[in-house]
Amino acid sequence: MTEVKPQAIRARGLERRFVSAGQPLEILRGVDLDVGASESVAIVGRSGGGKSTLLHLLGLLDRPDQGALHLEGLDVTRAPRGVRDRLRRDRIGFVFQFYHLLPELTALQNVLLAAMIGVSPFDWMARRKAEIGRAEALLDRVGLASRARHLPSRLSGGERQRVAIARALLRRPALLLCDEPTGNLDERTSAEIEELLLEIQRETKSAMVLVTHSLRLAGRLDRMLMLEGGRLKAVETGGIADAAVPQTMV
Amino acid sequence: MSRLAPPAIQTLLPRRPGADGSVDLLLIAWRYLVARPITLVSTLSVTVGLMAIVVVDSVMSGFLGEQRALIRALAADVSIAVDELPPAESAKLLEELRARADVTSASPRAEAAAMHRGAGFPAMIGAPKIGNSYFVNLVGFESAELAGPLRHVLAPSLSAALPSGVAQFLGASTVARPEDPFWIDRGDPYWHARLDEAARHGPLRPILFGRHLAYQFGYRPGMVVTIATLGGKLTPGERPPVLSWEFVVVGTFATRDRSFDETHAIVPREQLVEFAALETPTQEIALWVTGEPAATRAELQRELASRGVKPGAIETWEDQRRLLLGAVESERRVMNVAMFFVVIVATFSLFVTLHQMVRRKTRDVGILAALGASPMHAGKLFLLCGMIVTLAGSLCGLVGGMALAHWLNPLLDLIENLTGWRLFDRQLFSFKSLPVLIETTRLLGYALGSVVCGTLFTLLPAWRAARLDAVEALRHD
Repeated sequence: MTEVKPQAIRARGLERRFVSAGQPLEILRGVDLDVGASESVAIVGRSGGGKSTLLHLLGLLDRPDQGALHLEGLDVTRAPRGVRDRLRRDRIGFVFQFYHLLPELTALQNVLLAAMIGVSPFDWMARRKAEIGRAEALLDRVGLASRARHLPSRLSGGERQRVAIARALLRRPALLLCDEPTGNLDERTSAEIEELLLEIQRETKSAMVLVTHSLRLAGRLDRMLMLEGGRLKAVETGGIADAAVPQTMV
Repeated sequence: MSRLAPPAIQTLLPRRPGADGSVDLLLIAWRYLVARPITLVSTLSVTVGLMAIVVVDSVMSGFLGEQRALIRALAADVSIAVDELPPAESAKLLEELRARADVTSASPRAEAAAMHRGAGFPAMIGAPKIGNSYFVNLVGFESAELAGPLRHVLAPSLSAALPSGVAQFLGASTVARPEDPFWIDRGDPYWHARLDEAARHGPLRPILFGRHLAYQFGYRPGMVVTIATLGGKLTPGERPPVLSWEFVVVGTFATRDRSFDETHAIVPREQLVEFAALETPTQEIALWVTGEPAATRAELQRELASRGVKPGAIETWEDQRRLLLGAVESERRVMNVAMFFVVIVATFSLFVTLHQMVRRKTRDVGILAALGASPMHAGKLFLLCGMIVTLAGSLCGLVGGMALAHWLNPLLDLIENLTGWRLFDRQLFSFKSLPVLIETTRLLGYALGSVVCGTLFTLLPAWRAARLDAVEALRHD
């Protein structure tokens, strides 16, 4: 009997509003999204269109004003904060545009941070060796074995992003959320990071939602969606050049 | 790479809020602090503040301890005023008190005002006098009391605490035999001729002068001094008889209360009663006790109420000197308040440092949230930073301050030898060195207060960090 994996994400009618300068601002106006357990989905759209906001909702950093959200079959729409924190820690990995590494910690410590949060010193003593071994293996996987003891300030942009990817993978997440992971890198490095992310997604069979302005990268994922007017619309890979998708997303 | 199976939502609920461990906090807090020299400044300010408190408190405690000894002078642990009791009842009470297990020594006491003529030493200028006679208070003591609980006032070691001129003048003379303070050395060739002369006028009577009185009037052991007093019961319209005896100076005493030592002399009680024709031979009974004087006082107040001794007639030495001791305690309280402000000022820099740190590390709060940390987690991080700084600063300040207080006198001597600058003028006090008393319990209290203050000052920045919105924090530039 084959085990049927639940969908990684099932979102229905997600709405998110903000108030800016006294004016209500509707960023998301009923987003529906389904992402399979090992599926990769790209979200494209104009800057300020709500892509990052959607990612924050999917990553349980923020709560929708309306709508329902299920992660791996669990209804997390109104889950208590503790549950959301634990899901974020154990089931979700983030990769940000600006890497978001702690500058005081070495590359290895930044990766290990994901395994340290919520762990008591006694538990950590028991797990420490295994976690360090895994963090080193991940740094080796992203090509940074020799830079493990370096501070982020001693690493290039591409190397920092590799560290961030290794950190996101440490807890073996079911869902990878990437917010413009190549947006701050030069073309050559962007291509390397793209390749790395896709390889890793295939290896881990994690679901991946990737927000990007790079149509080239978006085109390499299983599906591409465009966020426009606060709603997601499917984009056929072959139709990137169509008038529906702006050539310049920035 | 394999993935974990999806969890059931029940297993995701924390056992209790905030129960999760925090090993990452130790790492991050430590790295934050090490990476920022400003935190070292905060640690140093706490250290220096606490060191100052420890040193000032130890010196003040030393001074206050000296003041208490000075205020106490010759006072016994507990005194019972018995001048209203019949002499037979006083004598009976004295015997009963001596039999008590908690009383180490019980002595009757008497006091009388008298006058004496100095030996013409120039330092007597300014002493209270009538004509060529000067006032002196005679205190009657039992020999056993002087040789026992009050032996310290006759100890030769005190001569070292005197100004060099006084010590040289008095030499090693306190009394010839501390175990028999009123003993007259008839075999001493220096005394011999004078004693022979004095003996012609009657029996030899010993007297001990306060050191400063002896110094002012040039009284030296072996000298014979004439003392006069008004004796008998005073009747209106009648002139009281002037009684005059000769006493042999057998030594000196020092209580560290200069004014007491300048105005008092000690004679055997029986001789004082006879000499001054005292109506009540025992004015008070001085008790030296094994336990707390206040406990003995309370017990005696209950027991002696039925025998005509009023509760107010039984006092500890602290009751008798309550005004002066109250002033000393008040001094200490004022000092404690001042010290508390030093602690506040020392730990305030921590608030500023952490406030800045929270501003600068806002994005880190968002990063930690993205990695699964709760908002409380960020609060704990900054609280931990503050506690590490304040604990390290307090510990260093406590240890450093106690070490400095311990070696304060050698350090002052060294500074004086190297530079010639003298912080503490020994001539102003009867101390050989700066009195220092390290009271560990209170100093630990200051250190604890410093930790509490530091922690309180970190609460606000930590609370701010805990209230940061994760999404806003991630966008913070």
